[in-house]
Amino acid sequence: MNRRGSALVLMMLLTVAALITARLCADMMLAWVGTQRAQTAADFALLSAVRVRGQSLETVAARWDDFGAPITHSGGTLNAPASLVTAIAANALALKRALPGYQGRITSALTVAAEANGVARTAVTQSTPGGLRLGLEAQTQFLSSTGFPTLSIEGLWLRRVWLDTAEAGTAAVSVAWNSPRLGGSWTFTAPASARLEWDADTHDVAVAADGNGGFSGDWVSASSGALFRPDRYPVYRAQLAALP
Amino acid sequence: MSRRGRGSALVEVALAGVLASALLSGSVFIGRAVLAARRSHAVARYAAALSAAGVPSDAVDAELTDYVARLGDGITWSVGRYNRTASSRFYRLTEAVATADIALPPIAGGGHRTLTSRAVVEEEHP
Repeated sequence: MNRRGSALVLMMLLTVAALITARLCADMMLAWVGTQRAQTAADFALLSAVRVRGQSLETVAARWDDFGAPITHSGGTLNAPASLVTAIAANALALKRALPGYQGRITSALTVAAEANGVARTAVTQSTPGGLRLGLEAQTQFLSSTGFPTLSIEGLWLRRVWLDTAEAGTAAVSVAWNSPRLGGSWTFTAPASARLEWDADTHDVAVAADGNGGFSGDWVSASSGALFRPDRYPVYRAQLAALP
Repeated sequence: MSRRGRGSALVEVALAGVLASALLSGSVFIGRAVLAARRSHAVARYAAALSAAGVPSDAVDAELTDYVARLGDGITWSVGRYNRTASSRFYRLTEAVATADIALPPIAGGGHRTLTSRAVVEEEHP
């Protein structure tokens, strides 16, 4: 009788041990799936935000070209036909005021894409916030015109803040993920890194001679002979980068 | 050993067998479910990445058919525009949904269960 009782207790203990082991194995496998989901959320949220940044830069350049194309450069001053000065000043100011909106769209894209991939915005941490900045600064400049007094115009041209012409900056985020387990939860992070590359054909002779990374970094490179062209070939491509 | 003792041992062995088979069956099911979830998520991720990069839908379907064949699972997928949240309508988000059917073990009542994975990413500017 005692021997049978001992066997039953042993079997029960073994059963409990087996159940705990099975639960731990299931938790580990769920965490394994969780790592993949967290990585996808990190990659795609970041890629979305960097793509929106590229689109914003292209849109800003197109808006500037709409009013800035007639501006010419001679002897260190900018000139425009008298009939266009008022419109140029108004559009330049409007574009300058719109820049924070383009920045907000980048930040919002990170949130929207993260949530669409099942991750709350609070779980996303930006490691290099500079990589998700629009990266343009509106510059005030004098504009001359025959028959008009020389005007100081806000936002007359836009300067890029990134240095490298081939790349408009690298952004990195990490997503924190909690995976439930017996008696608590495992927390791990999924890192992602992406860069915005200048997507112009640098083998093209014209691009090689005249390209400036999409936007000029200083006053000198904003001018191209008699033309004033602060943005040149503003096309960008977001690329996920391998982490070190 | 007495007849009563033999009977008791048989009951213990039968009980142990039932428990072991339940555990084994459960473990196999969980393993299959996790593997299916991981594979369907990989398919969703791949489908979203290809579609958002501007790859034509027929080329995406052909590539995913090959990919799923290599995985060896009956996974289906669909690709479309993601606009479930109000703010998502301001973006051009591509959503890929992959589903995998897994058979439930008899101990869980049999039948099938569908696992769904989703991946969403902004379209590349054309």
